Amino acid sequence: MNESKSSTRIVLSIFAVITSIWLVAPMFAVVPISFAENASFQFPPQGFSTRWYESFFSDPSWLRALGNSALIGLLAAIVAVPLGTIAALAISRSTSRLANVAQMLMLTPMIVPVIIAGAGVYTFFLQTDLVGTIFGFVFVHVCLALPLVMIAVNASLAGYDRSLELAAASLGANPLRTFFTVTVPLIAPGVAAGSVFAFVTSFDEVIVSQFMVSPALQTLPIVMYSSVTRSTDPTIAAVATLILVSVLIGFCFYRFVVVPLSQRRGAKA
Amino acid sequence: MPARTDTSQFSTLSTRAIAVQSESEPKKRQWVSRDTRRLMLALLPAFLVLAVFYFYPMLTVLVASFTDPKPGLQNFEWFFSQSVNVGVLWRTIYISFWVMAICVVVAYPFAYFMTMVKPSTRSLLMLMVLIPFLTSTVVRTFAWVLLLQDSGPIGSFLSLFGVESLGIMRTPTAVLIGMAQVLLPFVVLPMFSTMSQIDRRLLTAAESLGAKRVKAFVTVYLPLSLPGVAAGALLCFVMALGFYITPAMLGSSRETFLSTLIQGQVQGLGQWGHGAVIALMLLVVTLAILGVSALLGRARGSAVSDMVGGSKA
Amino acid sequence: MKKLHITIAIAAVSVLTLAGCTSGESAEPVLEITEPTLGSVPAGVLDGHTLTFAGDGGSTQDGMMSAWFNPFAATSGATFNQDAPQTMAKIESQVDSGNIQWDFVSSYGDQIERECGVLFEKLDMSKLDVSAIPESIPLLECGVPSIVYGVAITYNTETFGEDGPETWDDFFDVDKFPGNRTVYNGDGNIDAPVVQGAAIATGWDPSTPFTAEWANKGLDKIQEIADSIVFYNTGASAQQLLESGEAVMGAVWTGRILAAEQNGAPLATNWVDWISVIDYFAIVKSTENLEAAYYAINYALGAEQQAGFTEATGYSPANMNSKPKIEELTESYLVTAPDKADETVPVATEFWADADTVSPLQDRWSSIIAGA
Repeated sequence: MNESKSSTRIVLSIFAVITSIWLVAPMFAVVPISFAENASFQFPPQGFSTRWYESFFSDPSWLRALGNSALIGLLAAIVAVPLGTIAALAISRSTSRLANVAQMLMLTPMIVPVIIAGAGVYTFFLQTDLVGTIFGFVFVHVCLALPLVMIAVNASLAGYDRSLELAAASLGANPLRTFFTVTVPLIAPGVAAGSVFAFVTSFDEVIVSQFMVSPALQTLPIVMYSSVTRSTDPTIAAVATLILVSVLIGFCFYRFVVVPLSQRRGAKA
Repeated sequence: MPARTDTSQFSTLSTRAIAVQSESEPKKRQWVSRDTRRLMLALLPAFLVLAVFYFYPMLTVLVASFTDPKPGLQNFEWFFSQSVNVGVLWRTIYISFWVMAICVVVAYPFAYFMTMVKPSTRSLLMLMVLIPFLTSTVVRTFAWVLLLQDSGPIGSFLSLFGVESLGIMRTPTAVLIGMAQVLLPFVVLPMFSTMSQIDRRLLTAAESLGAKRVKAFVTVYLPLSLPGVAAGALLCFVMALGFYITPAMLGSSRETFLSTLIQGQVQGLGQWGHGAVIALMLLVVTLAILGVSALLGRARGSAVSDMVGGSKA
Repeated sequence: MKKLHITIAIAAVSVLTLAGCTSGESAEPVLEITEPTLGSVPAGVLDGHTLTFAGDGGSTQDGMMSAWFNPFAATSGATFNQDAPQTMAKIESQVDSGNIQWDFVSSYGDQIERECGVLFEKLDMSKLDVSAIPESIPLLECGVPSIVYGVAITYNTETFGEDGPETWDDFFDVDKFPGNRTVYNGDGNIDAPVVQGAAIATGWDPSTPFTAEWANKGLDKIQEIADSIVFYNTGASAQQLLESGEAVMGAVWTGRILAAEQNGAPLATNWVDWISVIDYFAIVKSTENLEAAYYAINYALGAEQQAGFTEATGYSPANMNSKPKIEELTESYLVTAPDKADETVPVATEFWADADTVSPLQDRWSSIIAGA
């Protein structure tokens, strides 16, 4: 019995390793190409140079796209997080049947293919002169980010014990104080995760964005997508490497700074 | 929940984030209650934004399919008279279905393994799922383009053994490989979430009562894990239907998805009504799939309907 | 790595600050052109103005920017934006909504002819100097030449030796010449050169008028061998298919064949019945920057500028006085050379400009390229 158990385990662990490789390893294919010497995607890359990084940091159109994407992502997160958090809290507290309908509607942008709204955004924005405006981008991206914010906040509410609030209230705390001393710390991880999801959603968005860009306002994923389809320019590999490195740094920061800190705080309390 | 001090909180959170819709029991609600007004007030800002920047544009598309360039059903006639539309619709459903199948088959043992290992290994595996989840789709698909091209590392390696060309790029296989990788996290997370709540002692109990290990797994564990499987599979399927970038970059024009067709009609050819009618069809198919699985879920008493209906946690 | 991130941060911040300052321009009216001069623009004449051009992207547009528009912007003082790809649908929605984002574009002659006066300004020839444009290049009411090129049959000499496909007949004969061939998918739009080439393979005599009947026969031919066709979406992908050998032959834009050959692809090109194509500059209807667009076009058509473009892309100059410094190989791809002119079949601009005729053909095309 034990023997077969451990053999199952070995098979599963081999399988998990292969799956992990399939999930993560392919992304690193962009790294060698980003250091290639000539303008080609051929393997193995010839020579070594940092010219594609120089080309990224010296080309105003790439930098402008990066700046736009960062700004739009940031603003979208700033708008989406409070809206989504309030909605999630309200829905979770409500006993009204409307709450289920509301939740379903708010999740729609994640489930229904975005191209449908995207095509509509195109004419809507042309008529209202919103094409190529930060404002337009931000609010469309807020819609796409709302479901993720809500889900993240909901998740942190799943382990949430409302009797704590009642306890605080019975000890004489007013509702506002209860909210900030009891509720906010409990949902904070969910809100943080929601902010990350919201930013990433906006920062990666291509499908609706291609209906909203103008020559003067391009975003990074759009420039990347058109670069990869219209030319053989390894600058995109350099950009991809930078994004990959940023994600990894973010994770390391989270794992080795945020988690230990919050654990220490947890231990004190 | 398993002990949360040692695993990354972020990981658990994200897991629950994706899975939470499939977990809970729907509460009995009443249509009219005291707090309805307060609820609506709190939801107002979010719904205002959604109404203007999401639902209104969507509505204009649906209306346009009946009215552009002139009122009538000519767009629908056009849709069904062109073999390309129906053909691409089937192809979209067909490829999405296989992506879902691959994802489920790969994600199930992966998620199962995650419940067996010690917390530190688990959080490492979770990291493997979350890194791609947070990395841009364009970047990931571009990486597949590099890998799968004939002159890529795999092709060059095979050519050492006399294989002339890899021949994967611009085929349905390439699209499947790429899409499944992009969507896998969405299937692993709900599955893991469901599985981590199953009491593994049930298996031991079944075995001690004389059931063979395989039988114990199939009769006890598998049914309990099904809600997570269903939620993940459904999410994967409907998200695959709307894919655009991955099929366009890894496939040829013969792997075109409906989304690409819509974009081409609207922005390439200026056929607003044609694009609108294709979009309407895509919406109908998506809703039909959600509806059917909701019905199935209800009939079987599983939690699929919660994923669709999104009952609150 | 740390340095890199600091750079990103600084770049991002500075860009954000810039983004806040760009709006709210109120430039003075542009000095009117009285005597157009090719290849030059008065210094600073467009100070404070923004001009936007849309082409088809890729290395061709890169060549346009380096040879024409970057120096133009530097001298005239204009802020020059570029965009790609241009499509008629986008121009239409811009004109219809009155929200013009592209001031002038480079596009197919038949499309410009079709929309002349509707989506495009009828050109005031007194503001343009067209004296140096070769007579073989026709002018349009709404267009002056931007790219002079062609679609020719090229094949891989490692596969076929010296006996590759010579004619359109050969190109569409998969028994005689098996293997993948690449042709343009028109980026969704029906591609005139490919359909005309296919029509020649079914017996169309290029000296007779091109008709819908021949177009349909050509489409039949394309459909017949669709399993052996790899469609290219962009010049970059055509080049890559030829270089990697994924396509052993192709009906490809001359500049891209040249680029593939320059990168070492073993190719031989046949010029029997090659389809000559001219793309045109056109100014988008009711743009506020009309005068500035005329300045830009006059500048681009200068002898030196055209020579620079040829050096960058291998496409032929549209100025008789251009003396591009190019090697023999590039020279052999200049489509304006007299020996090539005898063998060419021009795009049937008038036929393709007729929207009613083209519409059903377009639907067939969409279906063929999507393989459904």
